[in-house]
Amino acid sequence: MDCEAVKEKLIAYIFGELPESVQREVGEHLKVCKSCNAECKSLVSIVNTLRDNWISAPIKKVRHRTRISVIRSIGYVIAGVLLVLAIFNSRFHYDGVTQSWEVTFSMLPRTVDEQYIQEVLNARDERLLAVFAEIIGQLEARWADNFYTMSLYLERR
Amino acid sequence: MREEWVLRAQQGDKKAFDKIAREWYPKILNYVYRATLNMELATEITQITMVQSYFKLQQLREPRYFATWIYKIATNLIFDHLRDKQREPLALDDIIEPSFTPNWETKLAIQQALNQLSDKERTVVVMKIYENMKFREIAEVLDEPESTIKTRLYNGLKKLKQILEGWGMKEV
Repeated sequence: MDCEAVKEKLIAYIFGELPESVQREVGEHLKVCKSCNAECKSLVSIVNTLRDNWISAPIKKVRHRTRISVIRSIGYVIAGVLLVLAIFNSRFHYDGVTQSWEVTFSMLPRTVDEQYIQEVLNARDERLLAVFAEIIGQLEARWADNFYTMSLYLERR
Repeated sequence: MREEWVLRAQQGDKKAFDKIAREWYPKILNYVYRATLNMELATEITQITMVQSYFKLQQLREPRYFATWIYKIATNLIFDHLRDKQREPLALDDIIEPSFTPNWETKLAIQQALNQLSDKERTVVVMKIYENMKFREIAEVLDEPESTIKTRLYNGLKKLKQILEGWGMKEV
């Protein structure tokens, strides 16, 4: 088999798709012909480079991301609820004897009472009084509601 | 087993076709993506391929040739889409995310080099190198003589090597 014939068959040879006898014949030629051997090695090398570096469709793992986002969402909801409980069930108490403010938190909802509002209004902290004076109309309007409902209302302003 | 599914799907068993679709959807998507290097187009062509394979399944006479048959549907769609379309640079979304893949430089280079081949050359390279199809099967899918396929692969590989070496890649 001459070089011309071998080069025609080389591409089928490297994938082992020649009839057995022809495959063997080409193999024999490659052992003795430097030029054909170099050509064969060059083809094998590019095929290996392509095969070693598979290109795949950039498929996004939607399911995985969804799961993470669900877990995150649950986390945000829990954090939000805890924050709301902490803020809306907090109680501010002004102690007239020691002239100090006391802040207490409770995880259980409680009902606001008139006395508490009065304590706030009687406080000497002018800045805080100004804030409460600004919102007093809304506080009065929702007198019977419990504390967190009231705060929610304030947040919307 | 696969032939059995194809037979059952031909007899109207939808669950059998679901199994076939589940197996073939990612295969065809990867094949079309490699041949077009465009994820949006690949998704569209893959979906049309699945739809056509479902509605045309009765036309398949030999269930054992299902693979060749479905590749043929996908390939025809690829050429239909690419025929009148001029080569465009790769869209950013279609390029491998470099920081997330090992050997990203080589992969990126190969992707860009593949994009410089003609549509037919690239399709043959993809079928042979990535899909591992026999020359006979590729010839059947493309309706061309085996000798043409071999020549096209040879030329495609030579071009790729030349391009990659031109970019400074060694041992290509």
